[in-house]
Amino acid sequence: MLRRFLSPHDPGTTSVPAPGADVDPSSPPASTPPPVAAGWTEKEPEQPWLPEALREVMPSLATHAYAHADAVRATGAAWEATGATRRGRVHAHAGDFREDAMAVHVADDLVVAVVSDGAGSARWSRVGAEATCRAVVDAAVAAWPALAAAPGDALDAGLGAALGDGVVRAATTLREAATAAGGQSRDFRCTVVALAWGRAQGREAMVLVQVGDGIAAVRRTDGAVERPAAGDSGDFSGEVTCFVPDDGCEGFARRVVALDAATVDAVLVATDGIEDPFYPIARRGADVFRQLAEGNDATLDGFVRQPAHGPVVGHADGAAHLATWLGFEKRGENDDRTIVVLARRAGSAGS
Amino acid sequence: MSTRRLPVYILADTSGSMQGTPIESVKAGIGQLHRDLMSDPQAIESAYLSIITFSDTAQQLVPLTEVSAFSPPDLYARGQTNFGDALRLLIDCFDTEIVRTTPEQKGDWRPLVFILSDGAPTDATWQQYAQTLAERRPANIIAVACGDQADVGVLKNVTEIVIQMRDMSPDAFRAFFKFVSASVKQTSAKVGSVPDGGSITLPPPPPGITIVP
Repeated sequence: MLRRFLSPHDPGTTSVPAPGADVDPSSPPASTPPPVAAGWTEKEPEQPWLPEALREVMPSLATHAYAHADAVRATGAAWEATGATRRGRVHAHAGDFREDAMAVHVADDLVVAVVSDGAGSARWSRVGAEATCRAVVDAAVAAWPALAAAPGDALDAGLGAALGDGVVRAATTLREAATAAGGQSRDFRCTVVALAWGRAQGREAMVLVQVGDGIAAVRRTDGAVERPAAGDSGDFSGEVTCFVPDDGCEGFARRVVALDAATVDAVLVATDGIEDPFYPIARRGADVFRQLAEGNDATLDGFVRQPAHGPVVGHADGAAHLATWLGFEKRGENDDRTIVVLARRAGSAGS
Repeated sequence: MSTRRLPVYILADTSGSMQGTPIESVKAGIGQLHRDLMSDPQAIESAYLSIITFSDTAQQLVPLTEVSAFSPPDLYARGQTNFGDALRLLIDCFDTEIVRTTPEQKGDWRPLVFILSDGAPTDATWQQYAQTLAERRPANIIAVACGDQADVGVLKNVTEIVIQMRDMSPDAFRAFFKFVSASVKQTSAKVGSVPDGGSITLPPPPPGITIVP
């Protein structure tokens, strides 16, 4: 099925005179004409989400309910998590699947938020992204009971190690699957940004692990927005030095960033489909957190359009509002978009 | 700059040996490339084209220009093959036109460069600039050896990716420029930055054009 949708700059939606048209000499000089309309379309993929070659080697994904867009919301005693993902225009135009994935776990004492972005040049990257998100959440959830029972000083390290274990297990699984399916491990290449918060025995821990690009940003209780980890990117856009399951990704998976959880009241983790349009997050992050907290009816500088929506945080329709927020338009920014927002619930700060 | 760009440079040999059908085919091919990119929405929003020619000297006929504002230039073939000046000018363009990622700004996509040459350099400086390009790796460079007289060895000094187009007919150039536009369209996919052969994904070359091992 092919659907064509217009950008706001399609000729039929602007008032710029066509070349050669009469112009009223009393009218003010024409401003710079709008950019040429891009003419994006939407097509459906022609193959199944899980390739035939992977059905036997990755049976747990055979029932994965893929959708071009998805949104989730979950609430625990301390944190509210809202996540949304959507297929980018580039993939929609090509009739490809969304290659981003996300996974969220919310309990009263453990929250895990993971996003992953499949490499466009890797044929099975959407599967790699989904498998990686699941593996990281599973590892953290499995490790948590023992961590929660351990002495408080080990909480940061233990939780970080659990995230890292998840990434390492994902890498192992993907390499084995590649071999079994007659492919290469690079066929599954994906990034991962994983954040976990845990509270046990009067202590809080918040840790971050990242392989590849994408972003985590925190808003402190004083309103300051920070990016706790630099992420992996080169001199040019779209370049990553190491993906899951490349050789060496284990090293990145073990580089755990521990945050002072007590001073964090909101976090976002996102793929580069969000990082790039809002780059640098240190400057743009305050706007992003404000839009998500309060809702939005304006468009930031540099963007063509941001659709109006209600609050994401603390609202029963927050997931739908976040999905709407993902519909922003910025010229040249047409990648998949995935974001998970964690907001601390009132009265739950500290240990 | 709020839009991240995919810079595409065409370095075209306009020496005397390209007179006649070859230069007319290159001109037509650039026009075709432009039309192809104007039919691709990601290219419309991101691709910027520049044309550099080289004969006795090198000239940037068209600076980096967004696809929708690009106008294919006239090309004339005469003179020698000052390849060194072309590479020097290309390096200058990278230094002055390309935006790299900084803490304040997301940079361009890594530039794509297509070099077309039908002969061998007639200057003595090309090797030093080829070495600079090989060391700095500022772009994904694809060199095209046009016809039987092109010096593949020289092009291999500039880039690992050399393709040979033995037939210099209009159809062959047309097919080559289709390959160029397909390469541009593919390049915005996420790639690895390490030089493991995965730094760029190219479409398969058309019939009549072979990759030089």
